[in-house]
Amino acid sequence: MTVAVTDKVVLDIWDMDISSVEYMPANSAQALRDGQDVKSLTKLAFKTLELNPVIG
Amino acid sequence: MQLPGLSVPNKIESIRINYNTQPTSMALSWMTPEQTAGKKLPYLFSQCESINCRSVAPLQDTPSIKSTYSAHIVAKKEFVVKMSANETSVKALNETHNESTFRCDIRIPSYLMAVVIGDLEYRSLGRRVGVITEPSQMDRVARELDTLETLLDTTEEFLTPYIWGNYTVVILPPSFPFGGMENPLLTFASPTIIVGDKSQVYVATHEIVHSWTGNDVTCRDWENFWLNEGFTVFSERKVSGILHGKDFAKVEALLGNSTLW
Repeated sequence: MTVAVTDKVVLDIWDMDISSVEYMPANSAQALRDGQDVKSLTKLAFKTLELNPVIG
Repeated sequence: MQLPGLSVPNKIESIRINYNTQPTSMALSWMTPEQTAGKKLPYLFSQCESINCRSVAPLQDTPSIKSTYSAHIVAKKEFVVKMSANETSVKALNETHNESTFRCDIRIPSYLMAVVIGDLEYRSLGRRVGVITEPSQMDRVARELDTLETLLDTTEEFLTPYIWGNYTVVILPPSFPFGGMENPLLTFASPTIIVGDKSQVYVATHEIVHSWTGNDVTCRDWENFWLNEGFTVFSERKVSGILHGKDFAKVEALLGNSTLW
């Protein structure tokens, strides 16, 4: 599989309110999982799009 | 969402999303005490297959993308919490609530993420297998599924070593919409498979086989869902043939074929 270089992340959501998205240090997910206090680098801009009125 | 710059190939970016789900979440069934067998406590179970996980967590909700996951769940102390992952701890958060922690280190597609919470009891049925159900149903359920270890051993001999560690079947309340759902480590099954004569235990065999075909090797998209089910039914009947003889497997195949038309 070829992964395109991009500056956008697209996720699927239903029935959900997203209050904020934070940009974290690279590879910090495991530290977060283990309960370590990791500071975010910045807030990220995001928007919610309804791509299909039937399936969301 | 927009990253600050172009993502560099092979760099693992990390983002944190703060969100709330809603009571209407498609994946979650919230049941009142009256809808359970014991009628003591409310009950929650999830069903993420095929595209409902997106109502529990923001992610790329397709079987072509796999990830590990971990979760911390806070619930009142009288509830038992289980997930399709290894339970790493249960500790008291305060006088009334516990925090249960789970971790799945094998990468899975999103549709296999699962949770069940209720008035539940676990009973071991062997060195790796067990059942979970409401206390009032336990004796009946454990008697019906007492061959679970043999089913897992036989499937393992026919295929390859079982990679997930333990295997548990949860018998859910009657409103569970399927015969079974192959959540890794934690198959969800309908109480309709508990009939008293073990004639529906093939459902457990089917869900065990999914530990290989579906949960380990997964279809790329839902158009190819038949790959998950087709190879699972094939192996399920091979295992039935080993355990009960070729004639038994042939009858299963005939009954299965008749439902195709």
